[in-house]
Amino acid sequence: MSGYDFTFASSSERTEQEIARKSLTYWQDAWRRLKKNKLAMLGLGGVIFILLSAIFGPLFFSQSYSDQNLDFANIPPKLDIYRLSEDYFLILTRDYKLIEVTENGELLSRLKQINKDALNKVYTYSDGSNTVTLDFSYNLLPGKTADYDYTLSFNGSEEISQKHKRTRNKTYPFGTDVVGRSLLIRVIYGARISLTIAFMAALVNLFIGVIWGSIAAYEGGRTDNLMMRFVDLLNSIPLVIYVILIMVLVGNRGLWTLTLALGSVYWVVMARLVRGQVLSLKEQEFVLAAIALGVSRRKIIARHLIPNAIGPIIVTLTMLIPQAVFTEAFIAFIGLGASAPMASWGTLASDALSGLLSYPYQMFYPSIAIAVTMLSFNFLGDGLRDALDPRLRKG
Amino acid sequence: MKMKWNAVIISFAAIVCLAAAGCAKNGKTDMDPAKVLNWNLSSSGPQTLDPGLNGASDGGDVGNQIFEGLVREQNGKVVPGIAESWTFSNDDKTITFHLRDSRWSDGSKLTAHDFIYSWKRAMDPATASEYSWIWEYTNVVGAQKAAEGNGSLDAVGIKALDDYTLEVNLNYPTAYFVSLMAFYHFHPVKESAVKAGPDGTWASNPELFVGNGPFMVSRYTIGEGMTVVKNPNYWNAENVKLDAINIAFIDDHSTAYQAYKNGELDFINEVPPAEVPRLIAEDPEFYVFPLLGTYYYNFNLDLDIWKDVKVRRALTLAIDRNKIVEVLAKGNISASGFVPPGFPDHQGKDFAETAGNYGIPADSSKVEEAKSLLAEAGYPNGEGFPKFILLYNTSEGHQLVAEMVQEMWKINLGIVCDLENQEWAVFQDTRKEGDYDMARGGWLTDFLDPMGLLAIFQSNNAYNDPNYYNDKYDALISAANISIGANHFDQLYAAQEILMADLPVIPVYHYTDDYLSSPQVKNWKRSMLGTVDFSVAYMER
Amino acid sequence: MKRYFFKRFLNSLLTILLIATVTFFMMRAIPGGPFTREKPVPEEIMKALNAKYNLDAPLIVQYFDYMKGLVTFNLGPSFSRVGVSVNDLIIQGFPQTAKVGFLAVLLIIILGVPTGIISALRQNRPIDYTVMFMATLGVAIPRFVLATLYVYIFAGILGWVPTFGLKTPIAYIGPVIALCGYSLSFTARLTRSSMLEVLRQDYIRTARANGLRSLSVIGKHAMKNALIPVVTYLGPTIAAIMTGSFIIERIFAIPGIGRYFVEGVANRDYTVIMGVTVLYASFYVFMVFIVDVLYAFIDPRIRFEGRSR
Repeated sequence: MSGYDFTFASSSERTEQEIARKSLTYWQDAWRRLKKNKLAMLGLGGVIFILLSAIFGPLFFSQSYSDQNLDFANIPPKLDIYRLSEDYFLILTRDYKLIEVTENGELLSRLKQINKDALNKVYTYSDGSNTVTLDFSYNLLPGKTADYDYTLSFNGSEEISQKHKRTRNKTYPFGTDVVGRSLLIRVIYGARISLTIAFMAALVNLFIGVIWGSIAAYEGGRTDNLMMRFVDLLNSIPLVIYVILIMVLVGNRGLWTLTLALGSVYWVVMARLVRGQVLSLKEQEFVLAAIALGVSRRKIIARHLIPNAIGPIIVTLTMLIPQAVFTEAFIAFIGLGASAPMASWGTLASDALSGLLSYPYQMFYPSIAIAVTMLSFNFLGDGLRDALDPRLRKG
Repeated sequence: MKMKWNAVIISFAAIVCLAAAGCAKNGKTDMDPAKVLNWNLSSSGPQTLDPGLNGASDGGDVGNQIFEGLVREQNGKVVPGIAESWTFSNDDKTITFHLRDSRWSDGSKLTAHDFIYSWKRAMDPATASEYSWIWEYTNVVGAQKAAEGNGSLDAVGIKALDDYTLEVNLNYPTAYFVSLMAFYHFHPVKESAVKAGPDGTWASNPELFVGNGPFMVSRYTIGEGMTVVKNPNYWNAENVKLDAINIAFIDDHSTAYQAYKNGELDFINEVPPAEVPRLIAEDPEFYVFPLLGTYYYNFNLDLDIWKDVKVRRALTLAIDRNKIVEVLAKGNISASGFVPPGFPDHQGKDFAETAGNYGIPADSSKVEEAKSLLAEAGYPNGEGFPKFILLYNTSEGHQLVAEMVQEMWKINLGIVCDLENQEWAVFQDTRKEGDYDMARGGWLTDFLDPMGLLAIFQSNNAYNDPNYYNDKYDALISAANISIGANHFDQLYAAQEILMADLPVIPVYHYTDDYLSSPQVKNWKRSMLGTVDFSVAYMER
Repeated sequence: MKRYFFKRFLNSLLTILLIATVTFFMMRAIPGGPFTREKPVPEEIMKALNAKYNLDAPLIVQYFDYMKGLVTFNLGPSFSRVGVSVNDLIIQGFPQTAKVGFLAVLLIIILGVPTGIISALRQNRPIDYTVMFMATLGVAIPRFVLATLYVYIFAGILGWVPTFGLKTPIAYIGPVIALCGYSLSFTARLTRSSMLEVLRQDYIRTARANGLRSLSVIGKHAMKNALIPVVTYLGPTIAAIMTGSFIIERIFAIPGIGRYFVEGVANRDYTVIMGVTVLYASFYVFMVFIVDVLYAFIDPRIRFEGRSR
């Protein structure tokens, strides 16, 4: 046995120990863990894609969200093309319009209806030089057996009843709405409003809702009672009346008044939720310890209570945002916010409702846009929850 | 924990059963289903069924089945109702109605005195009937004053000469007076019944209801629906073929349409607009009727931007009405004048057709003229024309028209406007106050005379939203009001000519009504004013 | 604690009165009135109508009259349905709304909470992904689409259910699903997230390590604490669902009270607006109160009293 049980570490050994793991801040650590979560990164990618297309998407199109082409109203994204002659292709719309198209699905022009024989169910159309006759009587027979619905004849030639092919609408990839506006462009423009609303709803919930709820719970007693009764009041006043009142008092000043209307009442669910969490958290030992150590109230709320409630906060946020998107449509309908012809996703979806049975695609695209956005935010939100959870830092 | 879930599931099941049991009680009475019509009213329920208090068409639709006025009007034809016949005095200012011997649904006699009571009640300000203003247009002596509370009810020129003779004195000859008597406001009510159920509750309470129509109320559930059954005491009961009508209160058009397709309903008043073009082409049971009204835009004539008639005309000509009508897809008719088709003049010719189109085309053929008018007014290609706001009340349909018009003005004239919508009641207020640049308007008449439309632009009229004033126009309308026959119509033709030259409004289209009726429902009628009539309808199941 | 809840209860009653007051004056501040019509009613008749319903009295008098009525449960006459009192409207309509609402609430509780728990226990497994995907759909598809498609498919194409009304038990399915879709998704997600949170707590790990059966661990410890956010959310949600939805009642033609929230405002039917608002507010305030009581049961450490400083 030598005289020493311990030896001094060399200086190089000491520095090696220190840089073994770089000390990470809370946020750096969170980012590191977020990057590991594949779904969360997918969500982040989705969010970035949606944001980019909302901001820069319109630059790629010469058309605007308000450009109408009444001749091409209600044209679906998928076209069933009839081939009437070597190089003459037509589509038939649900409201009995005939439109000349190219073989690969570009819309050319609408044929004029020149004769309507409602009794025999035969309509005649013309494009100036050619005449097309449409016979749809067979379609209406109750017990029809053949695999076709309509017969078309071109300049009196023999009847064609089989579709030539089904192809994508090249002129309007998402189809057109009831006045012939491109749905693709309207969805892209709509993203601007809906994402602004989503962003604003998130902000209001995080800043007013979370803070309001945590202060109420932490202070307790009379403060809690007053603050939460105010929440009850906001929650119970009919939104319609409230919105009309704002419109009458302030007038419609676009997004600003909409923000006022939505923002002032849209944080109550969050406030209640956070209060419930904090009520339970504030009696836990770590808060007691923090108080004993003389940590300020503000720091206890911001550093200890809110991070520990981050799970429900994020879930609530991801649930409230789509709700806000639809509430915006409702408020816009009453007359606040973006005025027609500008339309948000929510407005596009609710406008499509009346034609849902005939033109389901008009509902499909805005709804899909909302769903994809929500899924992205959800994935990202779930990942963030895990990444931001202070308890997970240990393991 | 498990125990608790079981309890929850059991109570869930119990509730379902309870709900089912609770509803089974609502089952229909044992009536021959082949003689029962299922009809949807397209509203969440009428405001009231009391004819004197009613102010809305859904109540009028039901009223036409459970009450009957002096006459009925079917597709523009006046047919005898409680009055068997009527005679005019030589100066056309006195009309004598000869009533038939008829009964109330409780079996008691219906006399001319009942009409006197009902009418005086309806015009009495104490009754506070929403529609009592219509007495102004009846021209009945003293009626307008009484309705406004400035005159005695006793001074009103209606008299019962005996139980079955009713005499009406008019200030001026009024051609449409007899047809107006088909309107719900003039239906008779029984005094004892009215007193038994205050505020019109008697009319929707099967126990208190007394009527004189082909049917009587047998069930009324707020917000859900009602049933009317055949009235055995109706004078024409032998020709009433239906045993009952189940009336549903479904205000969602898609739901009503689905229910119709499922066979749960036989007759519905409105269908989802997107389905209409297909229905028009494919379904012989789909009916579109013109309604006597016009959809238009008001210029706020107090504003300087609209001072120049060339500007107003340019905006009017730059709209392709056919395209708008096609998109709305309700079978509407493009409006070139203010009076819609459907009013016969003194020669029996259609007023709108005879009047012509005043150079306002249904399509876009006069866009060039519009452009040059605008240039003459000092705004070539719309340059320098101030941006204005087009105001309409919240509704998808109004928005659609506004969006199309906005785009047409932008493309055709280079004029830019913003769209703004307001909640319905707010909008009514704004428009009445004149606090707008341009605002949507719509007007439907309640009596079969072009006066019903043209009179609203008289300068003192409460509904003159554009605040239009032209003394020649005022004089012509006043003259038309006190004349009949050729004289009457000449004034009206001249008046509309002035109106369409001045263009205080942009007429867009004339309203229509649509019905989807199962092929089993036969012989139903409709009045020009849009009220359905099932008095002699029958089912072929 | 008892004293606190007693005081809290009185506070709740005051809150209802406050909500009624604010709603009353806001409602009267917006333009239009119960007799606003597309064809404006002439002034004389308007006067007569206002006199009939006492709408010509000073607003403050009308307010006190209304409040007097309110405390004696007399909600006044409806304007848009002449001769019908708001009490009648609620007595007739509420049972219909409540039947659908109650089933929806039950469904949310017996389906939403367990799926959330299962999802958390099987985190990142297929079942978890399925539940979360469905929950996202439930949030992204609005009620009106769900309801319209349901009617189209099940009543229209398949003919399995009646199109409108609540005539048979099977007719309840559509309205219940459309009514609870969003809240069901919310509840499932909230339960899942809270469960995950709790499962990570040290004491649960300890309990598991000590060999207690997993299920009882969840039952005794985890569940209780995970319930707090769920209870917080469910309380007010129950109040909202039990008082119905305009869209659902309109699309399924249910003669309930949910439609009056929107219809009442559109018609400026003042007494109806007040009636349904007070009904909802009472429900809501009561549920919020219950939630606070439940907190005390779930987590006995919770104190509502002010922090002594």
